[in-house]
This record gives sequence, structure tokens and C-alpha cells, in this order.
Amino acid sequence: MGSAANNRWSAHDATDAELLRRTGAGERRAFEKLYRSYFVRLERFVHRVLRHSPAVEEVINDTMYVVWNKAGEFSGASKVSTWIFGIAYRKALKALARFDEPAEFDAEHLPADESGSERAILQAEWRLVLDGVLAQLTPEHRAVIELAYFHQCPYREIAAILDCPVDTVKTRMFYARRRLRDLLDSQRKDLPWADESSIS
Amino acid sequence: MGGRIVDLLNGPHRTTEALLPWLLNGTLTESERSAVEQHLQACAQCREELARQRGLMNLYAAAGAGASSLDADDAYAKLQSRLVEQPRPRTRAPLAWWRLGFGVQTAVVLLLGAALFAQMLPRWFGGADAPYRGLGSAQQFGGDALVMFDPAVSEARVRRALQQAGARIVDGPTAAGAYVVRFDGPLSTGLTSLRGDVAVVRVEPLGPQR
Repeated sequence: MGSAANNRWSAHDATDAELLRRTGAGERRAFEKLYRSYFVRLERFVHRVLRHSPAVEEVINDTMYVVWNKAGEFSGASKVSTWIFGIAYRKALKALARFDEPAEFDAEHLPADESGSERAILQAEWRLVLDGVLAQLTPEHRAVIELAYFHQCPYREIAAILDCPVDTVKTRMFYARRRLRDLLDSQRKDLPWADESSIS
Repeated sequence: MGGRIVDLLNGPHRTTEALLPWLLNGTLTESERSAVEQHLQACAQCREELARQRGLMNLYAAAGAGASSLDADDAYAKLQSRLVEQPRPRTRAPLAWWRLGFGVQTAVVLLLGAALFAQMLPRWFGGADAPYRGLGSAQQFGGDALVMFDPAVSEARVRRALQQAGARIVDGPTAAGAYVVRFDGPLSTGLTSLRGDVAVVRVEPLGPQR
């Protein structure tokens, strides 16, 4: 099981706080460092919620524009990551309301995988399948699953990001897991290799 | 008539089950973790549920971090232009007039010095003026992608989609019905073309040619 010491969510806490403080003082270089530090994480999270590529960059930039403008007002009551992801989540939901149909997942550039083309293809195929499955969950359920499973976010901070009670987070996770499991089970009948030992 | 109402919505099983995802990602508090582990020791049902949830989380993680579909340099450049157009409001109190005068004087000296320095820089380093260029913005040629076509479209339609994208099938179909497609021209152009084609369901880049 994961441990708090090497937790992905908390890994940048100290650095984030310092960069945000300097951003609040108007230091553009610190803001750029913060921007680049969050870019990939936000891209993945926003893409998971939004599922519409052209809007992902816009949502990231809208989020960080707020960070730039409000950095000096950050109270420190939450972690910097919780605050930024909360802004991103709200921006993503607003963007989602502008689209009638969820668009297909797509991506433009992948760093080269040097460890074997076969494994890369399997992993890419699994991402296609998983994305298709996740598309059948609501944005709220996708957000909870993504924050807990990938970003290793504590449930109290997920509640802060999603601006909902803690019990709501637990309930959403309960139903999201069940739904995800049922959908994956039906997919895996066609993909007998789809267990973690053959993919990872 | 005797009877006992059994609360199926709460109780130790449901409480423990609700916390298992966060036991697995290592973010429970000490007291929560202790309570959950204590329950797990005595409850085979919840241990089975833990194993199922671990498997689910591992499947999710097995997909990996996935492709970064955006260029951080380009994205930041767009945001930077917004910052320039609408600078962040000043929150500090106005300066006293004498400090303002001193500040202006200092700024003028610094600007003149910077202008002089900028003029001297090419001479010192011998190179022509080079515009600032972000990292990682060179266009990539060639590459592979995993593509899922709409099973309802014809073979001729798929061929047309590939031709317009400057791509060809080099492997597949996979167990999920996807094909490995190779681009010989600019990768981003080819991906954009396929992405916008109604014959294509999903595209997952695989990186440079293998």
C-alpha cells in the first residue's frame, strides 16, 4: 500500500507554498515554475474530467490565470495543490457545460517508450479501453476516481477540491468503483491480457 | 413478534469499505488506518473487498501516466500574453512622492544600463541576435499511433482517412480492434487529421517510429 512519505499528492507541498508566496509578491519567474510544475498534473486531471482536448489547455490557462491574480490572497487554509485543483475542477465543469457531447479522447505527443514497442502498444491499448470505460461515468465520478487512484489525494482534500461534503466523496467513490469494476469486467472478457501483470 | 432492524447502510463493513481506497493510496490518518486494519484482521469479507479494490486500483495505474497532449511552452506563451495585456492589479499602497522620484531615477539608470548591455551581448558572444525560443517546440516528423476506427465505416473510407493523414497501417488489429498506424510526415498534422475524421473513434500516440 502507498505511504504518506512518498505520496504523489504531497510530494511538492513545500516547494508549492514557496513558489505561490513569491508569485503573490509578483515574481513572474516563480509563477512560471509553478505553472510548469502543475502543467502535466492539471492536464491529466482536466482531461479526465473534460474529455475534450481543445478545451484542456484553455482550462489550464484559465486556472493558472486565477492563481496569478489570487496568489496574494491565498490564506494557506488548504494545501496549494488542493486550492489549484479546486479552481481547475470548477473551470473544467464550466467548460463541460459548453459542450453538448463528450468528445473522443485524443492526445498529440507521447514521450518515446524505450522499454519495448509491444509493451507500449499494450499499455496504449489499455488506455484506450480505460478511457472508453471512464467515459461512461459522470464527470464527478471520474474526478473522484482520478484524484484518489492516480493523484493519491486524501478524501478530505478531494472534498475540498470538489466542494462537497466528505460523505459525498465516499459515496461517489463507492458507486464509481462499482460501476468501473462492472464495466471493466465486461471489457476484460475481450482482453484476456488486461491484468496489471501483463500491462505494467 | 420479535425482530431486529439491520442497518445495511452503515456499520463497520460499510465504514471500512468506504475508507479502503484511501487505505490503499496511503492517506488515512493514523487513527483511521488503525481502525480499518483492526477490522480487516477480523473480517474476511472486507479482506476480500480490499483485494478487489487493490486489483481495480492497479488496473487503473497500469494504464500509466499516458500521453501529454499539449506543449507546455506553447501553452505558457499564450498565458503570458494574457498576463501582459491584463497585468495583475497592484495590491500595495501608493508610494510616497519622494520614494517615487527616487524609484523613477533608479529605473532610468537601470534601463539605460540594460540597453547598453543588450547591445554589447552579441559582440561578446559573437552570434547574431537570436530570438528567445522555448524548449521542446521543434516539430516531430514520423511516429506511430494506435488507432481505433469506427467498425461501421467501409475499408475504402478507412483508406481515405489514412491517405489524408499521410499514414499507413503497419500492425494490428489488436485484441481491442485497434491498429498501429505510422506517419511519415509531421506527426501533429497527421494526428490532427485522424482525430478530426469521422471514421476514427480514438487515437493514442505511441511516439517515434520503432
